Amino acid sequence: MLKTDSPEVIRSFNLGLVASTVFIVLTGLITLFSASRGPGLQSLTKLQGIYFLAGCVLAAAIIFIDSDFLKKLSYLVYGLCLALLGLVLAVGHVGNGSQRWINLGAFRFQPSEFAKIAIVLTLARYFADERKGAPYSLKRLMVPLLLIIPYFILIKKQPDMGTAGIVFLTAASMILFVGVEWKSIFLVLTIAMISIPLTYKYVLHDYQRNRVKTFLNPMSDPKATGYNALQCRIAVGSGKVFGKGYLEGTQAQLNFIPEQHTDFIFSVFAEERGFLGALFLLGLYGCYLFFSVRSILRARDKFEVLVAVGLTAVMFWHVFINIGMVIGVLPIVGVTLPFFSYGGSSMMMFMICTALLLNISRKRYIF
Amino acid sequence: MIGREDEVKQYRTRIWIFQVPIILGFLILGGRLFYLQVLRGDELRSFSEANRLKKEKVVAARGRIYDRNGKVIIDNRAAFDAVLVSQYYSFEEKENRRLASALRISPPEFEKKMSKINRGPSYAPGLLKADIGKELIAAIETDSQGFRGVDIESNVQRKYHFGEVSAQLFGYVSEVGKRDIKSDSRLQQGDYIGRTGLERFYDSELRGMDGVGYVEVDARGRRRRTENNDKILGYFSRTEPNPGNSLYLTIDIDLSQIANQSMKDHGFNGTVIALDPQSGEILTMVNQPSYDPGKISGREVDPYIWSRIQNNRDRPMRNRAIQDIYMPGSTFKTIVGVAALGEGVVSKNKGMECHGFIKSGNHKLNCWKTHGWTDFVKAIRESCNVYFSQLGAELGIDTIARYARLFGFGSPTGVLPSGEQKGVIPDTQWKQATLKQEWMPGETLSAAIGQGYVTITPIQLVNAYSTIATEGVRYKPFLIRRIERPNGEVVKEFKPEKLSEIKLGPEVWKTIKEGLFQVVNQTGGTASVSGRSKKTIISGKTGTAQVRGFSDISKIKNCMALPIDQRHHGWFVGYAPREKPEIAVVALAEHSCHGSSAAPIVRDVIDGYFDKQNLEKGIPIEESVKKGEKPKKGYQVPFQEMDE
Repeated sequence: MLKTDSPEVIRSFNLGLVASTVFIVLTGLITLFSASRGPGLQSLTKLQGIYFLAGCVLAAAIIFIDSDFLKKLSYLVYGLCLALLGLVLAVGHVGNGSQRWINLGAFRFQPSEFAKIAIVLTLARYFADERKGAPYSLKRLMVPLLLIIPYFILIKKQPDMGTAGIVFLTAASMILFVGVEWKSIFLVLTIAMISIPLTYKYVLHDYQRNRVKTFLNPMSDPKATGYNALQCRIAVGSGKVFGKGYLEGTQAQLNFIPEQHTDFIFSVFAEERGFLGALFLLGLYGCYLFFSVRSILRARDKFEVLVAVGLTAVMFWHVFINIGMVIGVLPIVGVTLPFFSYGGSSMMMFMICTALLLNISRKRYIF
Repeated sequence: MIGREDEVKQYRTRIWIFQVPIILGFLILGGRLFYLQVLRGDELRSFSEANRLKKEKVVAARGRIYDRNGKVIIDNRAAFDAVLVSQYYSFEEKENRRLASALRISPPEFEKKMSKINRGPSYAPGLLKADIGKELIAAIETDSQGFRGVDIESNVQRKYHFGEVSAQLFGYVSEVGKRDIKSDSRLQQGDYIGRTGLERFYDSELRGMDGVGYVEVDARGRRRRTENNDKILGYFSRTEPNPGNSLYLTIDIDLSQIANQSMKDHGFNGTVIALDPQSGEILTMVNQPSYDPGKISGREVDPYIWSRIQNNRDRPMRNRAIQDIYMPGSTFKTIVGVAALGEGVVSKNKGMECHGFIKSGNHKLNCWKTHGWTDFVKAIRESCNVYFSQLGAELGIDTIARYARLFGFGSPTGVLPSGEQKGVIPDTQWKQATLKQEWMPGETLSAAIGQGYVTITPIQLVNAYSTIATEGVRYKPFLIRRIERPNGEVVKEFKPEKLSEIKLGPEVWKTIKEGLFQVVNQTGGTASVSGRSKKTIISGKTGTAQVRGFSDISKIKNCMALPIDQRHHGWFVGYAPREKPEIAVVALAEHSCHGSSAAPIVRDVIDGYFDKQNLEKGIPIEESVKKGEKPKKGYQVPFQEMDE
């Protein structure tokens, strides 16, 4: 039905998304090289490159899956991912004070990364099948809520507040997108206003409370908890307009910045490349999101629209929360910067994300 | 399909609205970046320039090594390195010359170092010269013009108080390389680990746990200085380092020095081991030639010194005492003697006629002289080949091998965790298994006098003679008495370990010991001139180990005429005093031709041991050698001691 050499195929292929992905990955690898010059880290850039290439292979396969098949699969993915999250808590590998990884011999695998995609697929299918349609009342949102809650709890238990937050925000974005009664929105907001102080007091861990505290006042404890936040802000700011130059960022190279190859890699980049560089990178992510939205416009059914919306939301929240925490707009939570932070699971997840968006934009039905 | 398009259409407006929060989010990020990098850029740049808190490793002191009397053998010292932060350096030709001459670095070497420093980041200090003395520090620090970019860094280095004495046993340390870090994740760049000897085997005990501190530094990573140019050790929230544990050895370092000096005075390569037969405690283990571990344990190793040690054909880093195997030669006759007495093949008074040779089939074995009528004690005293070959033939190789194993030959003593050789004690089964050949009766003649296939390590030999000294009780030789934490708490304590007891009648031991006594103390004994002490009564046995192939040793008429590296090795192994022996010593003098060349070394060590004891009791030391008169190198052997 479709001739592969038809120019239509090429035009409908979301080249912009591919190009922005490649540019972000390349910029990321160059930055990672600078951020991983400490002892025992030198091989990370090469590994990250390998993860990217492996991701490309995976993506090439995903692009051509039929979306109806994907839809059928989505509840199965949900169940599988739930089982893996349970398994992590049972036998997972402990690192940095939390239990996030499953050991697979040669490498470790972080199921919570893939939980984000699973939740997007699941909610997309639920709302696509739901015949009555928007706007939803709180009562009619009970089922999707019940789908989200086990994920949220299991991930929070690891504890991985950042990922749990992303799952929550992504789900909320999708629900708001399909449409909720105003009445219900106000109700939820009211409950939230009341419960935030209570959550702070009873639900959060000590270290999380400290992060919030130092976020509100970073000078309160400069050598312990606030140290990271403060050093990151100094790193970003000291880059000024043009940056200190590649490999010349003293904050990064003298190890003032913690976890500089993973969650805080943006500060390495901003220190070296300055405001102009940072704007350029924001521009690249902006491009990615622009083309991601284009793929929503090319979707041919409700399921696809919602998957594309969900994935766009995952991407956006990652960029916003990661950069936001580095530059002090948000408290510090462990969220990776897409295609930039070192990590195989994270790289794979975003490659799958991109592949699904490409899959959706590939379709011929344009409205 | 077309029905689904309607499904999608309803979202069109929403999709546009969906982009609003995304754009808003990016505006927030961009605005904040503008605020930090443009508006507050200058202020934050100055913060980063003067950044105060840097995470730094606080190095844990490596554990010390003490001798049996609490004398420090190895500990640590402060060392100072001259380093260069290249971004502050001018690189002018004139400045280069000034700096090179101030640090006394030759121009080509200076150039090499500069290019290495330039390859690193410009803010990181690069090494100019390691371990500079006070003079050079003063030259740098007080120079009237000063040296921009040059800094003095302090660190901790290992100090080997006794230099080359027992260097092969104690070992050396060096900075870790990439491969070490890969294989042990606890290691970091700049750490030191033990490479050989005790430094290596007990590395995990000696190495402490480094602490972490936030230290006050400027953005170049240098510690802050006050106006007086003193460094402040301004640590914030510091976790203290845990110094390594100390080793208390069984070694007597004074005695080791005597042994080492004696080897050097006599001019032979080889090894000396002394141990306490009543416990197995090793008192001394020295090797010649040796090297100074302090010279190769630093941050910067002189490549010339390193290559001289590595390329020396006499292998100064080898611990011959345990790592090398030799033929025991005539020292093995004593073991065959014990076997013969134990099995009742011979008694004290049984004699035979030595015609100067013995035959078995077409195998002929010469004696080094024609002894005439020879009884057991004379056979030991004058080391008669014919007598012991005859005994060996009567015992059979398997019985000899069984007794040799009882004395610990053929298996490692376990004095160190690894690297020890075990040697070969041949028997019919061994030959069948390794060479796939039948044992020939003629080979027993050679084996019985410690030649042919028999090989041993020096530590096995001295331990076997200790077993004779204690009349059958064999202890495991050991080196470490206890391991202690820095606070004095004992981590591990090592007690003498009895390995076995050879149960033979008292008459057997008495006869053997009489023979060993006469070797040194009766005219005609093979060490009666070279081994005799004025301070105590030494009993022992000489031996000669051939170096060249398996040809019959007795056919070589004039050993001294051979090229040096083909001459025989000389053994002497013995103990003292005669009653209740306190010390057993073996000396191996490589390529010395005669066992009696090794005997004076053993005597020196035993004399040193008793001198020290007398000194402690308040008895003055008698000079055995006239003051200022050193023994001649290549000791001349009296004719009657021309043992083969």
